[in-house]
Amino acid sequence: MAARSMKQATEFFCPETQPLNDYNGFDSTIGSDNPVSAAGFHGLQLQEDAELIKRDWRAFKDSLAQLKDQHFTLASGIKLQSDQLTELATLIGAIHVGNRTIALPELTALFSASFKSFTQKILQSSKLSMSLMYKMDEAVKHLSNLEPFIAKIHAINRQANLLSLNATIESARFGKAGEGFAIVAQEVRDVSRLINQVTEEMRRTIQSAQTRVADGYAMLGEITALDMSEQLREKADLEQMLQALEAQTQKLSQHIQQSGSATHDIYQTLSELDTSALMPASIAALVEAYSAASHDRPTTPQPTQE
Amino acid sequence: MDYQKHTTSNGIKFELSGTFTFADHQIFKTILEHVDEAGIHQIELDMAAVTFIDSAALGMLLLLRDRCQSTHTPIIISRAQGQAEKVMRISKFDQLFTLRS
Repeated sequence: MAARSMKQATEFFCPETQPLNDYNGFDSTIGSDNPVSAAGFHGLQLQEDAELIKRDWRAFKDSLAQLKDQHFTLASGIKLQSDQLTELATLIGAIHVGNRTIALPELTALFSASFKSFTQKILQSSKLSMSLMYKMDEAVKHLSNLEPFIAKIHAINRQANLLSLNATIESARFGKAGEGFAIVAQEVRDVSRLINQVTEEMRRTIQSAQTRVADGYAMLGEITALDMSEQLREKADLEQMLQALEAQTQKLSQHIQQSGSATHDIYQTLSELDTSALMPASIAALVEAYSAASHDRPTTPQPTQE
Repeated sequence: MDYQKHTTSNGIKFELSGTFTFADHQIFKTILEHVDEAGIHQIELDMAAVTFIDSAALGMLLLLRDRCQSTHTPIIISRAQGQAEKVMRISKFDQLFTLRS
């Protein structure tokens, strides 16, 4: 192919009947009285054309090299863009926290699990609080059961007090002989008063315990009675938001992937584009062949020898 | 909260109405005490007329469940709706009780 092209080029630019090195003497004949032969003029014209072609060919090749560089830069940029889009499509579907990467569907599952755990803790806490409350209820009941005992002690004490008073009266009837008995009766009254004080203290203590338990009821009520309606609404809202975010991100990721794929296709097309093929092969071969053929020949016409 | 007690062929049915909150712990205590009655095979809580429940009410229902587990008495929570149904649903009560609509 190259040999044939070389031959064609040589035949085109340097026909055998009028080889290029035969078209000389133009400069020496021009302006002289000698008529310029048609063959000589024709050869000179061809040489000028050949020089023009060679010059343009070099310019073309330079432009082609420049185009190739630009093409390479463009292809590299598009490749980088394609890679970045692919990475972006991967990144957008997940959240990166420290060393952890959590995909959005996983985030929704995490939230649901977390909410479930939270709800279970509330339930467990409520159950224990109510259990505690019923136990406190039992304690109050037992404390209340003490009140009749205190009343009985009071009644017994009153009776003991009366007995000691009677004993004092009876001892007075015996005069001096009854003085010792009167002292004992006084001691019994003192003991009775002490018992009265102790039972009164017990009653106050029981009342105080009952008051404190009642306060405990109120506190337990505040801890246990949680209106979960707000949590319900928040859970529903958060789930909706997460689902919307997931759907939106998925859509965005798809678009980015499509964009990345299209960019990759552009890169492939550019990579497969051969800029050197912009010049038809036959013309390139002809010019190269001529260039090679004319390289050995002098480009300046030689003066005609007399 | 108010309740009506009915004896059925299977056991006892309580029809609850109004709001079921911490304030009803004494009323619920009487329901708990019924669990210990001899010859009860099943307890049904009809919650069709319950308009609101709080977490304390859920705690009380869980206590009832514990009590029934010890006596192997099944509990059915029926016809819960609105906020009560939603709260029990997110609390996964369907895994703990027999829920009937």
